[in-house]
Amino acid sequence: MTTRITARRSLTVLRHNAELYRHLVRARIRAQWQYRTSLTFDAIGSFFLTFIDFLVILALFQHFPRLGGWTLHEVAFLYGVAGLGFSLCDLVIGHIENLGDMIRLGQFDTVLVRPAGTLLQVMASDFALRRLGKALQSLTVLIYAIVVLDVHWTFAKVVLTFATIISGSAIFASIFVLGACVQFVFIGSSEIANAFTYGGNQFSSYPVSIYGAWLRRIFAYAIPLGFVAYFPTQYILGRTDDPLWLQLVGPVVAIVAVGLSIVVWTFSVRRYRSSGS
Amino acid sequence: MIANLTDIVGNSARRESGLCNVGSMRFAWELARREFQRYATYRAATVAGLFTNTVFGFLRAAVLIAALRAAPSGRIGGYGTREALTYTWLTQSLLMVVAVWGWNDIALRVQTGDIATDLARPYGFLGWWLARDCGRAAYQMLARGIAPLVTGAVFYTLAFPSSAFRWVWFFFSIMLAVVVSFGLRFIVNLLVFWTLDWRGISMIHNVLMSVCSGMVVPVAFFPHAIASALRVLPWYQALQAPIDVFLGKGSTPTVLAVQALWAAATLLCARALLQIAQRRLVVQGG
Repeated sequence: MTTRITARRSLTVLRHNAELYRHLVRARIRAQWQYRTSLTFDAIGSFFLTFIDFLVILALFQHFPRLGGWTLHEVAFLYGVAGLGFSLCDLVIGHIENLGDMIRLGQFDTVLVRPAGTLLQVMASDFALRRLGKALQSLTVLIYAIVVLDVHWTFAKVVLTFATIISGSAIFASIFVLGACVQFVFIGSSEIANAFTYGGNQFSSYPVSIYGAWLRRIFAYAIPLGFVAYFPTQYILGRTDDPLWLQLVGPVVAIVAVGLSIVVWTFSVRRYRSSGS
Repeated sequence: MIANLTDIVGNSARRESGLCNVGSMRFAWELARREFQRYATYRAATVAGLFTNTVFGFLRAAVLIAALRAAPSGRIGGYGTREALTYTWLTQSLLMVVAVWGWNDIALRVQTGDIATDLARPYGFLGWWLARDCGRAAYQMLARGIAPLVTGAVFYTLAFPSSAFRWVWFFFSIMLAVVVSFGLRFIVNLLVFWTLDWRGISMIHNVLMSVCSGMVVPVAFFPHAIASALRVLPWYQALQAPIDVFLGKGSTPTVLAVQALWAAATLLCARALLQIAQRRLVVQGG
């Protein structure tokens, strides 16, 4: 009986939070829409800027047919999935890397006294539409890969593709949150997180098989970046580099990663002491 | 008051040519020293940045090693594994020194209007920023330049120069690279006088700099015709040129000569653009 009441109450809280988030984000979007031209140019700019990463892949593939056993088109698919996961996460939560500034300027103290979740407020503090430029670029590469690859599509593969993009986003989001927690301890250290967020995006854009044992252990498993694109992509492309369970377990890994990051965040916020100025 | 500042700044522009006399050399030195100290205050940021540079070094090294292993001859564009690794760690070392991702200090001052005060000061605007940028580069060289290269040398076998002379030419080449990069950044920043928004221009600058300077991949990896064209463009001089000198690629005197030409050309362009911008500048307020 009591469990049912608690369940219903937490559902109400969840619904309330979702409503609040939607409301705040709509306001952010409306604000940016006032400067449409500037926004459009920014998005177009980042669309082209992010093509540089793919240009590197193209330049390298001029000199050989396969990298780590993967063809250019397969790497393009991998790149698209990883990039889409990263950029959607970046859109929703990427600005958490400015947490150090929020703490320094005392804005985080404002967050603490408001009657809403801290993580929710930090997430809703921005929604930079220009980041859609990178999402669009990744999508372009992904669609190109799908067109040229001749994948034997099944229902399971379609579901896994969408699930992978979402769980990839979730894994990146948990890295962003954990990186922000470091800033509670070392203010001015926002760049440390970059090694694993932007670095993580770079890592997951290539087949994991090309990295040495140590990089693989740290980046593909300990930080579960292998599940962002590499393992599930094998299932979709019909590759057998790794065992089947590893190819399918991505969404579970994402849920664990998000849970862990929320626990660490809650702990960090509870320990937080304002600088007081 | 709406006044055209040409009269005042005209004087300072003339004084600029007097950068060589003892007084202003001393002044430039003091400016550089203070900029060095200003950067040195952000210690946590330096350590964090160093950490990230190094992690990226490992990631990029892994990609290049795999690429060379995949290439039929084991070499790409004249790079073997050892050279490619040296290239990777050199770029990680130099990217802050030559400010690959640009900076917008002047652009922001144009946007806020502070530029009017800067231009009214009794010394050359270009020389003032050049001196400060030398201080910045010196700090980045010591704080962010040495550690990545040492890390690379600890974990991999790198191709270090065999003669002391090459080290001297390498440092000389880095200095020229800083000047070219400064000239380009100065020009990009001044364009804000016309566009009023720095984001668009700096994005174009970033694309050109990343691709044409050899930051993302050695220029020699591009198809031959493109690589030859890039070699004579200014962006190449800002990063790939010192790496070429370090690795002994191409004729070192030629590389240095092209760098020196571009250093002079970018500074002259910067100066000409500054004069045009000053003529355009209308100070409003009061």
